[in-house]
Amino acid sequence: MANTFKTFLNSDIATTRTLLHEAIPVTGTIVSGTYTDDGNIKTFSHGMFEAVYDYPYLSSSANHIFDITAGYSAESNLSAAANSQNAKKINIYNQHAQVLYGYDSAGSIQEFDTDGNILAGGTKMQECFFVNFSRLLSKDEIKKGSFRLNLFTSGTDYRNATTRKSLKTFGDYGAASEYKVNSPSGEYALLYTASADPQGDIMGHIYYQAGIAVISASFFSGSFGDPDSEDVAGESKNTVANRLTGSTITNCANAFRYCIDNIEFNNTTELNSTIYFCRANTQDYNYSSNPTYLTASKIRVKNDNPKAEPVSYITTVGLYSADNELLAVAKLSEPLKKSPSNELTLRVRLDY
Amino acid sequence: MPFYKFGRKDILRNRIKAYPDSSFFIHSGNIYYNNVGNITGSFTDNAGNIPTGHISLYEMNVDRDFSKHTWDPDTNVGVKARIFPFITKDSSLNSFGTVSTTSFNQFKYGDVITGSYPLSSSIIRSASIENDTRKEINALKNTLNYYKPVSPRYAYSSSYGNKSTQACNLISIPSIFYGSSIKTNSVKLNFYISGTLVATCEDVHRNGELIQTSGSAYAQTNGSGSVAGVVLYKEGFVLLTGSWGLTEETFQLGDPTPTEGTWLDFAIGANDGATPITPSASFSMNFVGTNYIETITMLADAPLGELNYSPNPTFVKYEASPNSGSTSPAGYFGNNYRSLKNTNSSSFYDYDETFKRQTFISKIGIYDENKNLIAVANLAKPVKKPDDRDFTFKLKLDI
Repeated sequence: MANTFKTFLNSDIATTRTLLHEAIPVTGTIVSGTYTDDGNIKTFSHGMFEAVYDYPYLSSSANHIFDITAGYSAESNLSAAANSQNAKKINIYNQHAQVLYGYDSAGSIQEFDTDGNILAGGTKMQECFFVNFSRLLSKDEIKKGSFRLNLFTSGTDYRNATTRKSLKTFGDYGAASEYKVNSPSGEYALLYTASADPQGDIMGHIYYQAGIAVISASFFSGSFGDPDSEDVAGESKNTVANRLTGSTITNCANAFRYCIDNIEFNNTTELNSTIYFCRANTQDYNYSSNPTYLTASKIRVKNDNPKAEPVSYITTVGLYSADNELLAVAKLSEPLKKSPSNELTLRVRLDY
Repeated sequence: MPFYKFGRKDILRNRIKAYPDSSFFIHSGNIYYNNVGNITGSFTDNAGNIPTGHISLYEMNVDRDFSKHTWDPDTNVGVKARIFPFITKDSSLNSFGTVSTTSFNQFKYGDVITGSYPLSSSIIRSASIENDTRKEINALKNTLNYYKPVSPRYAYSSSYGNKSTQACNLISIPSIFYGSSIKTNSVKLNFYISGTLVATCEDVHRNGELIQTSGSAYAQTNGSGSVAGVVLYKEGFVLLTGSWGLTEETFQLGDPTPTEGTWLDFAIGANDGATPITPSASFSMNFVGTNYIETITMLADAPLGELNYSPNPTFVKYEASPNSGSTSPAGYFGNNYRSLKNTNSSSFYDYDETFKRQTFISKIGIYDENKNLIAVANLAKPVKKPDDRDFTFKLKLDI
């Protein structure tokens, strides 16, 4: 129990923020259904999305990686009442669009603008696949400029192991310094097919704080199929457009999943810290109230030399509230000698 | 949106006390926690990427082949095959606990400092022969003496022995396995040779003393009812000092010279690097932990005659031109009145039920004293709230 208190001045307290990152590689072998028998892909009776785990999801060791779903705008050429799950696909698109892109001045949901420049108009991404990364992986946000997605443009019949074609890598190249801020859910960047200028085609968006990747269906060319689905009716009929109209969302998500070769990004966690500079000036803390400080009415650490200067050993720093309630204790790794001939500044960092 | 203040009796704070069971089995240098062995994955022989008997802290990198990870932080070249944390050295001087000060000082500002997953934890055995150095036991001197009033067997130095010099066997149990403390009267140690139970000791008196309660005739002759050691319940240590023989034959229990098995040999092979161990000696350690779960229960009242209005746009009747008003030189004047939608359903066909005010409560927001929304409770389905009914919603939060 301390009996000497010093009040912190404003200049004694500083706050800092540190960014901690994790590198998250997700290989296609996990995503494309390695655990077919045990099941690391979870589907739901509502059929609106499927969840991908890194291990059979019935195991307590499994971590949820991301959800995949697909949808299109009501204004899309693909939209038709006769389509499989037409309303659900429109709802999926609208739900993502209103959260990630918001509303226009007329109160209508804005469609995803390909180049992110809403005011200038331009082409819209009306048919999209959505990859919602789990908070466990994306943490506070995805690190800008780190997102890379290796995707085959064609992926029918993956089980035959030979038909995935034309692997392309796209990422948020250059986003560390250039990103968009006109989304209600935070910052986002465009996903390009090439890093150098010109940066290739824009194939989607990555929303950093939301942890959502939006991939335009126009990326896929040629066949696009779900090997698990029974309605594969020949490679030529399995275009992405036919899948989006004639197949369920789960089938579309499966087809997308089999096209994934690799996903890689870094996440970010903000560590906020308060640093308290505890200053022991020359005249401070040279005496201790510890019972062991005295022996036979003599100060033990002075070695029976009454002329020696007072001395103490600092082992602990206590942080007290204004009401003198002990809030936190900082322990030193080894005691520090304190006497009138020295001054100490102890840097106490509190992370939260 | 109306706000209601919680009354004094509307918030209840409770603490759930849970007792998780833990069982360790040590055999031939392997540890098994709760009888779970190695799990084979599709990409690795060891799906958890941790040794058996360990707990993985975040359970990251499940079933990942580490041999494919070739990424080099210095050159930023290579394949990343596993999840790992990294931090850039800057003036905040933050780093990972696994990075030593010397290593940290060698990094330049802007360098990437990497850590690794998974982080795992397990029991560790630390044995000291007579007059051997024993920094772990020395560090527990004050703690052991603190419990002297509970049992004199805890004393660091007494007529029962001097723990600074006598042969000791310390088993450290990380708190992730037991929570706040080990439950008294729950520790049980079994010593087996070639699958046959040789001796058992338990803390039967609830005072931390581990007393030999059963075993082979030879072991019972030597040590029945004797105190084999003590348990530090809150700190998670088992300290064994019982040196009487438990086996008539001699065995190689960590020492090339065969000796009789004693409690000092208990848990040999538990992360202590001891070899050789012959013949098959195995040990089990069972205990029950104590884990506290703080809960807060909030009773949110929806009183009679209140909460009968919603700002939701669907609360009012749809009209073709709801905002049509009048424009005059003095300005624009909107309609003063909007009709509420009648959501009361009738039991009769094609008949509109008489209008009664009612709302549907779908969620409850919890606000702090500054009206910051700090929590939202969503109802499984909306609850109809007519004027003449009141409700109390019970919200429970585990902390």
